[in-house]
Amino acid sequence: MSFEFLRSVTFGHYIPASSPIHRIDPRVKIAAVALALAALILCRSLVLIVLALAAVLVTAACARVPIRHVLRGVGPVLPFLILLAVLQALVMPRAELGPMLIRWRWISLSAGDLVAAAALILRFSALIAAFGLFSSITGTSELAHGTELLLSPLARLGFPAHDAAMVLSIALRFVPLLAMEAEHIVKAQASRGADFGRGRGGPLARARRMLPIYVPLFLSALRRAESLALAMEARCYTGGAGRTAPAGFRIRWTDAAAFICVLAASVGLVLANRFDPDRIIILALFGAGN
Amino acid sequence: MSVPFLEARGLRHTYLADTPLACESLKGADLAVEPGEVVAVVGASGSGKSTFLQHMNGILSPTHGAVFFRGRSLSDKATDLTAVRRRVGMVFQRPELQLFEQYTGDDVAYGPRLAGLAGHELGERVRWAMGLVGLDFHAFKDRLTVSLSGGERRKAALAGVLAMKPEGLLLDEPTAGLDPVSHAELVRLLAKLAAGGMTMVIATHDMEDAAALAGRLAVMSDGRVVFTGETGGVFADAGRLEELSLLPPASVSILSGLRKSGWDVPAYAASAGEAVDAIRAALEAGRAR
Repeated sequence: MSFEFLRSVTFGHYIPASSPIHRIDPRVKIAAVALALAALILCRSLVLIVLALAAVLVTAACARVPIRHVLRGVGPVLPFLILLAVLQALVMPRAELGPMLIRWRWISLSAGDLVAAAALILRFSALIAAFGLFSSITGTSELAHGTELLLSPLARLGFPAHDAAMVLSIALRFVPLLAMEAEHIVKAQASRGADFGRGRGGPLARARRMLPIYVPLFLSALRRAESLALAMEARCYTGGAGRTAPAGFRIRWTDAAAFICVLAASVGLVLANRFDPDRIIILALFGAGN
Repeated sequence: MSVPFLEARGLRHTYLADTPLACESLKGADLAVEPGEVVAVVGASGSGKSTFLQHMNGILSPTHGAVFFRGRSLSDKATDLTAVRRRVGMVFQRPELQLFEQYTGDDVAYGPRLAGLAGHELGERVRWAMGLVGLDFHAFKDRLTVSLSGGERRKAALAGVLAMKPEGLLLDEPTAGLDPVSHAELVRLLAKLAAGGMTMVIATHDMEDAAALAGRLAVMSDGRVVFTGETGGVFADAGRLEELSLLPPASVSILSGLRKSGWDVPAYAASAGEAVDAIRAALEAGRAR
């Protein structure tokens, strides 16, 4: 058992590198990841999801972000995903597509159900990978400025664009900090005889053992937020008007090209669904079933 | 030779292993601590002192190497780590931030309660531990931990560890950030515990504390224990101090200054009091002559 909670947190882990993908304008990165996430959610076909996941991983490789880093967030949620997928496959027949593999009372499993279950797991993995890639190539200040610039048209209508961007970037930045804080508390409790990570008892017993961590974690998060606010005040933070960015952001043609690529891929992904490539492949493999 | 109380052999530890942010903090650290001994671990910030200390009771597990508690490896699956942690108490850096119960008494009771104490026996144990660190049981047991002062919090944290009746203590910069009075009180308390036979490993930047408490110094640099030696011997040896980039405590600096101008005083005194005695003895000897 290791108490390194930080290891399984991929959000907010910017990996500094100087790849062309890192240099893309933050507005484009934000818009692109939003598009990609939306397209993945709308995508139902296993084949297309596999293609999309491959595209994300290839992009990660081009950005010199290790693929294991991008996929690290999948590990902790995998058990839940598998449970969901099994339930969906057994009790919610999607379509009686392909040959029926199991039929017993209310349980039925067709080749189509298996494909849908795999799609569910891979879709989630692709979502996590896409977001993991985004957070590895986007620093927090970039994220804040990008969000602010994207929201700036709304600022004219009185929307507090700058504050919203600040809140967002601080929230993301706090995720690894909270993991570290939880680590401190767990270590303090373990060194005084608490029984962490010994794997005894069922999942419920283990969850109950985590309970005493939440209250102190919450308190220390509040304390940290308070000192952060003080530190910002002390450096005369006023927010909003008059705050400048360290570097001017300008959309270059490479940014535009990157955005068009992602846009085309996302639209293509959603449109290709209409042809239902899974159905074509299953029918080609198994025939029309029974 | 007797079995060491704690022994680290070739400890290596990498934080965030297998990520792009991996950082090797320990690069093969060795140290043996005999029962009843007080060892001060000194070295620059980032030399791996905290990481090293957290291995000594199995809070962190090494990537390579092993820690032995009375000859038993902590990496051995059969070793009951919880039992080891009860016998080797750990006081973390800035323990005042790690009080996790709402009331001081509950926080001190956390360890013994998990060890199975209850009712009157538990109350007595908490009273005993709080008495040991100088927190009045009745005045403090129902105080909110957030309402304690920095020094009181640190005492409460120490009481919480002592309440488990450990045989050894690991202290990570126990006196850092305390006001001078609380600082002196804490050093006195630790000295009392040491005199009572408590084995201690103290990570510290404070050479005065190291001189006052520790019989032996272990110097860490870049993830390794680069030197160990008797405290008095190390501080008396100016060349060695320079080599290890350590500054001696004030008592030693004063004595070495006097020696340079020809005084016949010893090269080492563990405290200002001892230095005064040495200087007085030298003065009296001079007058007699």
